[in-house]
Amino acid sequence: MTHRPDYLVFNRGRRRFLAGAAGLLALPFLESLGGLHTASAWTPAPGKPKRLILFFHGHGTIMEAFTPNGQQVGPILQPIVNANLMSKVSVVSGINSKVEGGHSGAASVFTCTPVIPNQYGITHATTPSIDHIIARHMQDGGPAKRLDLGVANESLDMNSNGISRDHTQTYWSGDNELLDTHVRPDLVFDRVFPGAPTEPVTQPTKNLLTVRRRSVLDGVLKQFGDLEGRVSANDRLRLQAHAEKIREIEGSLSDTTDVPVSQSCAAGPSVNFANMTHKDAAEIQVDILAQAMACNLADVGSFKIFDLEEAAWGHVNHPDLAATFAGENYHGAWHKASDQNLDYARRAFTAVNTWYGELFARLLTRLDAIDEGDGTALDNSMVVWFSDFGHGGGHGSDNLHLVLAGNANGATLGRHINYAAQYNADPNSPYGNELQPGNHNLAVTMAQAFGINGNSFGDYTAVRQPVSPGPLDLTV
Amino acid sequence: MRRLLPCLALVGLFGCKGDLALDPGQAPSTLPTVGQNNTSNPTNPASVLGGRDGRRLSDLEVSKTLDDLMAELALDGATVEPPPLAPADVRHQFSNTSDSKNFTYDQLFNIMTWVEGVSATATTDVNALMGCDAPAAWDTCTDAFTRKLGRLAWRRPLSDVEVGRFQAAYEATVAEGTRQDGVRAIVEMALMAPDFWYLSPQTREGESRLTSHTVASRLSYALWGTMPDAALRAAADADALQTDEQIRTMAASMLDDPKAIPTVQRFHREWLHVKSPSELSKDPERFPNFNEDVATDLQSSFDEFVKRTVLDGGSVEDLLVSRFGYVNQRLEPILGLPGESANAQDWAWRDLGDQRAGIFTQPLFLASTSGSYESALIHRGVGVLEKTLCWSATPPANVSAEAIEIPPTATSGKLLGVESRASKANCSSCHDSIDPVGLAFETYDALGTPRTMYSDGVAINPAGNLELGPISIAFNSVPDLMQKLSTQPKVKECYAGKWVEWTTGHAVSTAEQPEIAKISEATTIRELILNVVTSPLVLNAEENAQ
Repeated sequence: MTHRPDYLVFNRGRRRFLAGAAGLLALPFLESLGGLHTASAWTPAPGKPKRLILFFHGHGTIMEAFTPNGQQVGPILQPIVNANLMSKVSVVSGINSKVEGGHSGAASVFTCTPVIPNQYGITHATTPSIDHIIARHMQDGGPAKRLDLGVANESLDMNSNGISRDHTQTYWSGDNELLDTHVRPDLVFDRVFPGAPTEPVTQPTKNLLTVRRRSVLDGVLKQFGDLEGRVSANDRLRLQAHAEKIREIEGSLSDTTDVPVSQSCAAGPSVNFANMTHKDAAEIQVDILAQAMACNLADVGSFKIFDLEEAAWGHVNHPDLAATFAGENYHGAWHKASDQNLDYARRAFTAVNTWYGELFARLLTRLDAIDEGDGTALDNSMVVWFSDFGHGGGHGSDNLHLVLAGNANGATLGRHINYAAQYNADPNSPYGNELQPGNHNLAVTMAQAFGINGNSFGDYTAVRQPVSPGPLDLTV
Repeated sequence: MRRLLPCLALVGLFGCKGDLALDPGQAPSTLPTVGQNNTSNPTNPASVLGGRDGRRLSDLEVSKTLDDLMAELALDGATVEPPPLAPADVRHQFSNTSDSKNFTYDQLFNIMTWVEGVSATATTDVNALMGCDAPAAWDTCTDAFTRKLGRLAWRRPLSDVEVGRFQAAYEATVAEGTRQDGVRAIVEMALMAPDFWYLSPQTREGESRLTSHTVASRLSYALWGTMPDAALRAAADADALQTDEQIRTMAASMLDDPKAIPTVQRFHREWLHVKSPSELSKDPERFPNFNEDVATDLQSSFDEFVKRTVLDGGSVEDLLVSRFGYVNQRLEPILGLPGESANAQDWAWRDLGDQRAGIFTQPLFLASTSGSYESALIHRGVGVLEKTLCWSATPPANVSAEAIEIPPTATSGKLLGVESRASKANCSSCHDSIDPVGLAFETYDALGTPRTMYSDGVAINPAGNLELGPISIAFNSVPDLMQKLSTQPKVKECYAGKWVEWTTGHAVSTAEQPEIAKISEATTIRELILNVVTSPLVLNAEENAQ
């Protein structure tokens, strides 16, 4: 049963403004998620999470404002305290990103394999990230059902198609296959929650669409065969990967009408897109993500905060922001922050990261307000807050900052798990002890939570630090 | 107050190579086995379509192609949403690079549903679309429409076998639905096929030279950013794009066509990686007159400078040193010019004075390499060196740096950073080249207005020495620096190489440098572009092979 909480009052008058005025084509985006239809028949093992939700921003954090000091929680996590949800999270210190350092690390945190540069030096992952593998596992190896949302500079740009990309590229489905993140909440809303259909999708209509798609894709696949014979070996590899996905789409086409979700999910949350700021956009995206996941529209969901430029930070209203961004973009401004010296940039980014904490707390609060009978949607989700760095100013790939929430493979939560302390290392330093656990262990923990067997994932040889097989020990 | 002054804070997203070693021997459904489902060769950085002999259309090219395709089908009133593709990564490359990301499942599914939207719009009036009132059975009308659509979308005539595939899709669909459903299937197959999404490297039988149809596509996407028009298609169908002379003549006429203007302008915007008006923001107290209109003016001025310099017979030297610019009333104070314009609509091509020198002193470039309050010294230095000399910076191993006491209001505080980097070996190896150039460009503020001192009263000294490999230039100002750079053969070669990248979708290699040098011997940029499109690097697939 899905319960629609009070804050999600259905109000068609306030929602509205798809770029689709009359004459524009409605893009059936996210139809792969089932549109108004349930996407997942996934059933977790007893006591295990049924969905994975990831919360990401680049550049790490201000460590000592993030890491708990004894019983003292710093400002960045204070919003979780204010939401009375600390009992449902564990803060984890001392996880190192073992494969890649610097900005290349974003693509290897969840793939756990080396990245490679293209002809221009821009790096990409070569293997799927663990979130994608989990999503495919939930569909018995079929197409992944996921919803990747975020807020970016383009979130308010009515000329954008709502897909954004920056240098922190985390989620991959294969070699050089970066999964898109959708950043325009107005487009996302109307595509995830298009409202109750005015007419039911009839079986003949469904069959005709399936027949047409099969016929089209069959012809398309034959064209691949012709083209592959005319290109170089390298080009052929890429064409073959393209064709393989066309075959997957063809194989996923169904002759039967999908089971509709409950009316409450079809209606969706109430949102107001008028005069939206980047703060509004982020909050709406978080609300859409929570509701969509609770409606089982996807197995894996994510929320990402892209590098927002100075103009987007008015809501933080911090006196040191102007000096911090003077002459710099978001990335350059981060370089002004230092753990070693309290200065204006650190104060400004503490405020910025406290807003990230507020968004994370909002996500948890929304999930926790949805009663699923056997607990709340939060209780039934594995939620992970992570970044490519820990120490933002130092671009440190050691001591990633991490929060696990909801159901972390059945582990007891409400604790600060400090692996750095186990190895006499400072959890706030850019440089941890190389024997601390790594992103491989986190990935295995996530995979085992969703019933995937195995103790190792990724590359254990081309690493910058030693890493052991197995999951994290969340009982320490 | 303290401020970190790192070396090279803005560049260096390079990764490290390594062998993939997924844990072997796991049973099915275990983690490593799932990871091994990847079908591509993960250790081969060139495992992308394109390489030297083909490439995928960019999001911008697909969008423009669809607009033109709809117009060719007399559907130019129909509005089609942009394709559901991520914007290209243009940090160090062009939007049309062959190395764009591979397709994911979701992207292809979304492309399929996007194409279904296009087919719904296109077939609103099937008879009008096809130009005849045909029965549901496949007939000459449907056959002719299919060949016409395929010729446009695939940029070459269809073979009979291919028409047969369209017919099969049409007839299978019509068996369950209507003629309109069948025509939708034809449209969808044309736009889903790899022949639409990739520029084919097809060569003449037994030769390495590209066919006339392939040449037509390359010319069209390089110079117009879209599909070939009727004249270009006719030349390709007549096989009249065989010789260098034929191709040069065609390309010259294409450069005369207004369709070349936005493409040439986009090349230069992407080359310099300037921001769009919506991306520019300036501090309202520091720049009270800056607003969206001014941001749009900056781009208009930049675009007109490119158009007049490149398409009206200018040289690479002109591009780098010209004192002229396109000015309206709002830009006069930014450029430090006396008021002559009557209003914002009163544009004029004017001598901007001895403080300006070409495209790198265009306010759009200067505003793009700045924050909202202050100019970004390192960004400008790296930007100029990367764009003029094709130099690329590699970040030091350790970017953490000591904090230096700088009041946050000290706009001159960056000068302390220059001194700090000069004293550190792992910084100075790059910054000894970057910082003198960046310092010279400090003579323009965050909006590009000339200045001689920072707002806190500290004077700016633009004189310096650029030492970079064989390049050694002593200069006393930005115009002096740009004048001396413009005479360097390496600068012209770098610029020519960028046009080859733009045309082929691939970075040039060391082995191709001699050919690049020949291309760069052109007197004008127009001539240089014509050299590019008639170069073996573009026309010869075999020489392009890796």
